[in-house]
Amino acid sequence: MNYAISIVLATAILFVPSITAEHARQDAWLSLPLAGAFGALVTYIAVRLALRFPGETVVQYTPRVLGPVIGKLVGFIYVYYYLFVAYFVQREFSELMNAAYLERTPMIVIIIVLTALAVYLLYQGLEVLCRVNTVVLWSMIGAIFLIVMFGIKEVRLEEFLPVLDNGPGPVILGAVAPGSWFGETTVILMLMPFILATDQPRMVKFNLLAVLILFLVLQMIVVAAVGQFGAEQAATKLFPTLALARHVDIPELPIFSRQDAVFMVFWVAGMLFKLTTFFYAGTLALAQWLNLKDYRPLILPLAVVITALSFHAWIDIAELKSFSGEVFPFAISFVQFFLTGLILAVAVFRGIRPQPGKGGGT
Amino acid sequence: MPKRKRRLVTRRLSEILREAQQKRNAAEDESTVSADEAVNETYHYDQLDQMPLSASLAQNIAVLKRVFVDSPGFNVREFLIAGKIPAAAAFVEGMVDTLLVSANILRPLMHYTRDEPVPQGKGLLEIVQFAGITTAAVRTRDTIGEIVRDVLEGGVVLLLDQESRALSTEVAGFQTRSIEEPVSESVVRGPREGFTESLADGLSLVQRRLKSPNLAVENHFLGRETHTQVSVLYIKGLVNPEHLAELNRRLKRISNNIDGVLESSYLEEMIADQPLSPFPQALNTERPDRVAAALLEGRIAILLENTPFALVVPFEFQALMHASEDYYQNYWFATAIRILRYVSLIIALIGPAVYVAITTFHQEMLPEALLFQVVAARQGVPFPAVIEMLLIDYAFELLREAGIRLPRPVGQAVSIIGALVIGQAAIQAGLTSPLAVIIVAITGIASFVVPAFSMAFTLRLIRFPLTILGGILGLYGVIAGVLAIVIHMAGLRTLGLPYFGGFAPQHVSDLKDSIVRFPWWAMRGRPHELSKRNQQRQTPDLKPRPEGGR
Amino acid sequence: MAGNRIARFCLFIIALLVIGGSMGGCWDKREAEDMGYVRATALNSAPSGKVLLLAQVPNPATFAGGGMAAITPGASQDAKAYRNFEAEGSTVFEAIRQLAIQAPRRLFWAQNTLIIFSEGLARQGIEGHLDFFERSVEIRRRLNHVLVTPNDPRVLLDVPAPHETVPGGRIERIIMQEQQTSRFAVVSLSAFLRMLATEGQDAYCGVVRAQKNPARPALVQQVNAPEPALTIEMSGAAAFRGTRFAGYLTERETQGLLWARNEIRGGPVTVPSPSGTGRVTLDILRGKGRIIPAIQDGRLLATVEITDVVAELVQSEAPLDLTRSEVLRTLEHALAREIEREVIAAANKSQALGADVLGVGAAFHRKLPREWREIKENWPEIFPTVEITASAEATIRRMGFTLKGITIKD
Repeated sequence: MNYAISIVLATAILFVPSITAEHARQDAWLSLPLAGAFGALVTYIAVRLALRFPGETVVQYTPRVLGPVIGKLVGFIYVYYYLFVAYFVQREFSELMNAAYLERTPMIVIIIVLTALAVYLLYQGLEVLCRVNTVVLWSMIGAIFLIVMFGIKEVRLEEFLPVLDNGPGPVILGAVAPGSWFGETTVILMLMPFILATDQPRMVKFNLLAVLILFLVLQMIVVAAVGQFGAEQAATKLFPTLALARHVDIPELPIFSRQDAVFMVFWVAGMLFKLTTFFYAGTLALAQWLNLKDYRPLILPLAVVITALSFHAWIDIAELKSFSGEVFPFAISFVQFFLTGLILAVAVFRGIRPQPGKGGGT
Repeated sequence: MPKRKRRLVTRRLSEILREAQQKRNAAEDESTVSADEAVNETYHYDQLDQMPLSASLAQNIAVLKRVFVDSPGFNVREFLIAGKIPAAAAFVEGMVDTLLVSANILRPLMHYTRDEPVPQGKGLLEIVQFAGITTAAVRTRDTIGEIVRDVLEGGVVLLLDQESRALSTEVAGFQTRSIEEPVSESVVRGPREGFTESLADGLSLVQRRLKSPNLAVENHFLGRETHTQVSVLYIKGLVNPEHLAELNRRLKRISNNIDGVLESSYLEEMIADQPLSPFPQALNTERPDRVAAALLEGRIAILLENTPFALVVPFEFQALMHASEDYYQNYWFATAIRILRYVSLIIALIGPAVYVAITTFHQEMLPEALLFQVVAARQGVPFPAVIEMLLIDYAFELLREAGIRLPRPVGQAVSIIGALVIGQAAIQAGLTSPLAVIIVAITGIASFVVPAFSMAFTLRLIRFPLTILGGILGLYGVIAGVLAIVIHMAGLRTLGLPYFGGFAPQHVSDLKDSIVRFPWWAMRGRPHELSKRNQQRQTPDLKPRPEGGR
Repeated sequence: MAGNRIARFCLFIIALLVIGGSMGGCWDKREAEDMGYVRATALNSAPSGKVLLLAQVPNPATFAGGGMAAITPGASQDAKAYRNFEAEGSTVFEAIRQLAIQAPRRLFWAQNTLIIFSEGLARQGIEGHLDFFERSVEIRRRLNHVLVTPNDPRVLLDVPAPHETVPGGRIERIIMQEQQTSRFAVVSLSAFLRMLATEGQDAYCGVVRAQKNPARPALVQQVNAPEPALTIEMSGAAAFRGTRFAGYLTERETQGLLWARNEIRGGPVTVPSPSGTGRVTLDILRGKGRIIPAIQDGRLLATVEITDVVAELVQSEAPLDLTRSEVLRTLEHALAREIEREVIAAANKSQALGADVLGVGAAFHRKLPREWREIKENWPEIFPTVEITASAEATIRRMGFTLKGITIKD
């Protein structure tokens, strides 16, 4: 559960509030429940599918479900999807670091440091990843909570009026981006075989709970951002959560002012886990797609590849941001929702069951 | 005593002695070696253990003398049991209590005056064992190897004529330190006994605390040359058998493949799960009460000869942050102290790094008044903050090391002079800023707060690369370094137990004894990952309440 | 096997650091003492149409206590506590970089808390200049106050004072006292930008002035250390129409504005005494204000409703018998009327200036979004015609330690 929350949270908190506010304006807080519901649906489908083949990953069973050729093709889409999210994360991360903290440090250095950590974590394996994650996740939520609490006095409720000024359309549009972020819980398709067999039946509950917590945290941020900056300002911020952190000021306790670098610290940790998770899923998926026994030999080459891709995929931060608002949600929603649903539907329709001897977890 | 009998004895005695002399000469001829050869000849237990005792006393003595040819203090005392049966006592002078030897072994045997005749050969050993010597522990030995081992451990080995077995008794009489308060883990409240270099004392200290037949010990002898006795202690029914089997497997792997084991750190390094890690992978302690507490949690303790430090495995990282006194003080206070320790841990780890990062990358984080102090203090300092910090930190380590190694009175002088004079002079000369000195001093003090010295050493070490990272990439560098450390630690295991056990993998009930300490009546369970078979520590309703009340 | 791999990886990292470090590393490193921490920034218009930027940089050495000054070379007692650098540029950033040719240190804006526009520049519009401050990584939006000054910033930021020697710091301290008076507006950059962005809301900000110091003695020569000739004060508010300065609000109007904006946290209100002679001063403890819009028969109405006002009676010139509750009721009534008058004064001024600083339009937008869509386009013209009324309710909770006031024998 921890897992799902942290991977989505790390990047979602970065752009989502402003993307949502851009469409829905003061109704951004209404977009999130919609997005959460969509996320819950996607999560439910993904977990159902994963539970149908508890001992295998999506790349392993798609060829059986959809036939060898299409299955391999779809499998590759998943491989690419995971790696794509990974290098998206890399770029997003380094853009913020470059913009806010390390203006002159070459972006490549920032990316390499983070990627090196991810590679190290990957060599240690999934178990260690989960352990580190547990240690850091709650401190991250704690940090966000503090940032929001520090600014709660500044939240002006009238910023949320009028409700539904421009009708429900923008609200739905605003829900698309966060909805796709919620859907990132579909990474469970790659992780299910490694979850204890005794825990597997509870995964539906766990993942939905994760979506709920995620929803609450995001809602908190959106409310704080719109309430403090006003909808118009929130929409134009490149990094609204960072802006929130920069906004903390308690005149009585000046020591708490300008402490946004501390926020950066937690956020680096969050980004690392997200990157590592998708990188892991991508590497493992590719290894399985190529029928390799061990994914480890792929780590370093793939690290180089995604680092290069993260550089060349987008020209600048403006493109990155419009991409994450207009293209990214639809592209990943396609994989998360449509493809996953399709596989599940076909599997149910054709009555395909896991291969004997492969059931159960490790 | 009738005259006739005495004459008989006299006659037999000379006869016997002559006979024995002849045999000895023969045996020595057989096994004589040149001096050069003797120097080059080495013996190992696996080889000696293959050598059975012969039925000839002379032969046995000759072999022993050959094995111990240049050994310091080796002695074979030959005598006659009841004045007629040749026998010999082998021991190392200085290792045995000679008074005990003469009173409990030589005197009763030489003055053996029972009526039934002493049989030659068969049956003699039993008579000697059961009706002869009066020491407490007596064991029968069959091979040269066993005898050599016993002799070197401070035992006396009795060799009997026409007997291919020997009797080994324990009369160790070497000087040992008396039991004192443990130096590295002193307490205000709690037992003041610490382990000493004597393994027997150590075992007894633990046994006195756990008067249970379930307390079990398994002995290993490690080291080709040192042949150090290693006692693995655990409580049957509480210990996780997998851990025990794994430990034994690792100890066996070492056994005779290592030259010597002089301190528990040898073992710690040899049984580590992650040999390259700078983090301690076995908990060392001088305190028997701590060992007893660990055993009760289902852990395994390893006690060694010749060192007061016992090892406890497996353990979690948090155990390094606990002191035994935490359990003897009020739990609110203990919790507060533990929080203090974790804060110190963080300061000791990242104090200088954060200082460097903030003063050279994130000046905005300092409130204006503080910032201006920093700037004013650094005015004219010729080094960048990173270099300045590394230099002072290095100087601090220098002083600390000098203070430890020097004789105590001198050591104190060095640290006082160093701290006062050098620090003050460096500031006066404008070489460093006072703030940097303060940071380093606080960092140093914080590292002393961490109760486990092995952990404190690790912190001191890691601090330097972190400071450099902080100087290159600011807080991003620091957090990247810290994350690398956290990842590394999360990957660590001791005997297969995750280092972050309790936190991750998370077991909420284990957190009762982590950063906080719950009162004893609330700590019902043992650590989750440790003792899978016997989770319950005590009955659930132990919370004190008024008589008859609810 | 695994260990080997880790070892190799560690080597890789170390190599990376070494290479990275030696390649020039520390890209963003800036030693704390090599920087000048700008405390206040003032913008003025230059005759050439460019912008004049004045940056006030305190000298940290003069602030360090604990005998440091003696150790620090170059610092002496009578060193000036700050320096003002001025440069001209076609844009704010141009001017900032132009400062670098005279400032010996890299100027750093994170500690900046004041953005002061001269009235002349504000009249020309400040949108372009504000953009720099909004975009800047170093500037903290909520910690910076936007101010307008009618004076030349050069004078304002060089007004001497024996205590709190840096003028920027002095202004900051005065701002922190806002709750005591409510006679001037305090608007953070964040709030200012939010007002600019909100539909139906015009921006306002605080006003800072360099004034003749009334405390200066007449015979300056005969006084050992006379009060300086000038002093700094915050007073009133500056209203903007769009991003252009529209006019000043007096202290009284400002208090009314703050009531309507729900920004009142304190301040005195004086009303005539119910006893007929003298005045009574009440200190506000708290209060809430909001604007309720309405459309009646095609007329736009806005009621500024001030509720939950709690005040303390701090002074009464004539004796009052407070044991009788109707005296208190009368006082409360008088206080409410006075507050209403203040609000109306503010409303009248803002309508006269054509700057909707009260946010009447925003209130329409929030409460009557459908109607707002129709009037939105012409709001600047409609705003002066809106009928703004005020209604206040107040209670007096405390009256100090006496019930009747000073008793004087007959």
